[in-house]
Amino acid sequence: MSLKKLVNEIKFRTGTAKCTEYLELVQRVLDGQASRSQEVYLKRHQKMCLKCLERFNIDQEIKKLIQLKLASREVPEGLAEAIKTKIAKSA
Amino acid sequence: MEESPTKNDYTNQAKDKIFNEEFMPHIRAMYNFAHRLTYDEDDAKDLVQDTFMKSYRFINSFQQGTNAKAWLFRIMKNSFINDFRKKSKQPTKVDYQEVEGYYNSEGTQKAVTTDLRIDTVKNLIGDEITNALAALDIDFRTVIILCDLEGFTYEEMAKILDIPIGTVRSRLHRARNLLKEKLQSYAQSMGY
Ligand SMILES: [Zn+2]
Repeated sequence: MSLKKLVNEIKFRTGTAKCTEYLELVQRVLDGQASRSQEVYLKRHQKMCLKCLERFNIDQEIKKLIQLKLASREVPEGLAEAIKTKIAKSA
Repeated sequence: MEESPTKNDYTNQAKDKIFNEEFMPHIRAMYNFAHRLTYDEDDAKDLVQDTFMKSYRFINSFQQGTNAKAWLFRIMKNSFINDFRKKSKQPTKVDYQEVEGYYNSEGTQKAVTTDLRIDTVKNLIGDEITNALAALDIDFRTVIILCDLEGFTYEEMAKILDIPIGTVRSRLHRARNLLKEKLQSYAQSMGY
């Protein structure tokens, strides 16, 4: 690893890299698809950067809202039966 | 997706078992996905029926015990694009930026600086979320549905949508920014 790369890597891990460097982690953490260490790097950055912390909280709130407020519809009556009948006929 | 290299040769009995035990339990998720794609009850019913018929017809390329839900969602997405989208005269828009490495582009930095605030978001009601999502272009709406509502992983989404995982992430990122813009304009018009 080159020295520059190494320095960037250390910055990233200690949370002191530029905000844009953490965008991908924000998404991964939000969606529960980050590794343990990735979560730690982001947390370190958010401890020092309120802007990123706030953005993350907003994204998280919107995600929760989508899950809570978008009603799940019941399957229309008879649909499952209609499908099974159609398949029985075709088989 | 989840296709075995060699096609299976299930007996009729095995087919019915897979269909009833692995496919049918997802009917509610399927119906909801269909409804969020079409916003029409009859179209949604047709799309669900069509998807299940196809799933049965191609059941030999499904590997028993693998991710049936993702497999079904992929069939539905393709059916919708190939059949329903044509019928409904929805224009296909390809005017959005979608390159890997999107995260570091200027557009991203600009897009994340919306003035949306946390208390504003908490004041939003279901209708506003529903409308904002409905107003999104279908490709953007789809990634939000798959990720936030259905909880698919990026990897599963890549398979369902037939796009690279990097594109899944950048599309999702862009979709969320667009959604935020819509929500913000609702909030403004409501005087929050
Ligand atoms: Zn930051």
